[in-house]
Amino acid sequence: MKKIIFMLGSSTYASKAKRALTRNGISAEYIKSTDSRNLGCSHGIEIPYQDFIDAVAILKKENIQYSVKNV
Amino acid sequence: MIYFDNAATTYPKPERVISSVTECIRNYCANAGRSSHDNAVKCAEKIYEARESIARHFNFGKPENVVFTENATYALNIAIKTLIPKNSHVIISNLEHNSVLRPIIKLANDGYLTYSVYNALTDIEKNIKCLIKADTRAIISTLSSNVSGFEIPISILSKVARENSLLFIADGSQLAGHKRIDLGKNPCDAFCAPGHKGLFGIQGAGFICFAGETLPTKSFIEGGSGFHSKLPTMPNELPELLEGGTLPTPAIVSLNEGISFIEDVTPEAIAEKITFLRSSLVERLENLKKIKIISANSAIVSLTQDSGEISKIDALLAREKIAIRSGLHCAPLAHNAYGTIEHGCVRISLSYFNSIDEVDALYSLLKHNYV
Repeated sequence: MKKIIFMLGSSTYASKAKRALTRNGISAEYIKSTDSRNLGCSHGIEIPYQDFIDAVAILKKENIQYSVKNV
Repeated sequence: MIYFDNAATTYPKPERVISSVTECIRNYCANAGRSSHDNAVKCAEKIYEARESIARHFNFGKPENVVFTENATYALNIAIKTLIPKNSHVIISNLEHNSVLRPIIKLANDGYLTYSVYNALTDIEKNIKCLIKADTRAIISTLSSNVSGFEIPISILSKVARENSLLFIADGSQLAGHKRIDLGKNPCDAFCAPGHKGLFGIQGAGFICFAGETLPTKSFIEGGSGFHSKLPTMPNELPELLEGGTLPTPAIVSLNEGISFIEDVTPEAIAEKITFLRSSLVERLENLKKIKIISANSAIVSLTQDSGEISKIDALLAREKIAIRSGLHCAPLAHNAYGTIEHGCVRISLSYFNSIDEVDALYSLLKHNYV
């Protein structure tokens, strides 16, 4: 299944995002990777690609900032 | 042992708190926010769950603004030293614990700020307002004295702070868990509390709720934060701005479980039981002419001998395995306010887990020796 990753920075925001998405029925798994800021490792969550648009809306509603990374 | 030292730390803890700590240490305790293996992820999620519980319990809606610390002393130091600008004048109460008084004195001695002390035992609003000057920037106040249990209503402090555009830093150490505290109704720039007193967690975790509009912008301690390691500074967002190094996962898990216990029992039921025990104790002690009750509020009854001395009561209770705390309780201002600065007092501090039989046992012992 194709996946997409939201990079959140801290594990706090990764947990916040994961809980927000899970509450709204989107399967989200924790992941550690690097983000576009090249500052070292960062925490993120991985979701099914088909849930991307809904996920963006939820994260925006929760005022969670992120960057997107293709798997 | 009969344990009446709950203002120092609560004992016993609810069984579910003990189980949660054991489960954490046995089954999944790792370093949260560092690795991506299952145990580390679970710890990160448990810690976030605790942030959510605290935000919900105190009704202020932003779990990411809950910063974990070692205890309330660290919480208050961090809040004071990251929020209050240089050359400020601040107002503190005459009941403050040394966890507020000492950092304020240090900052004053260093020329960073000046301070005034308001009398919390009379007209609070009037006493604070008459101290406000052009350079006053903050009110820092306990919500309940650790010497007497006297409560300073958060509603008054929050109102005066808002009306005068002042920061408000609250020390909730003795009130958290004893009474419902609503930071949504009573905004507070920083609410500080330990996990191990009225919230029934184990020692090792305290927290700050940054529940107002002013947030810290500078770090207090610098170290590892588990992400963006190439950054030469701490991350610039809460909570990681103020959380350097490994968080005490077992203590935080226990704090979450303690809050869950309180919410199941309800703060109202806890307050009702403590009020009953305190009133029962006071009623009995009033029969003892050689015992002088200094104050009786919330979960605390403070007393001395009629001569003002406390050493014999202290020795008696220690010998008979009744746990209390006597002395100045790290709160010299409060003892000045109550006139007990010379000898201090004996503090009996109750919890939900004390019983009327224990109150009777204490009374019988004192009656036998101090009629």
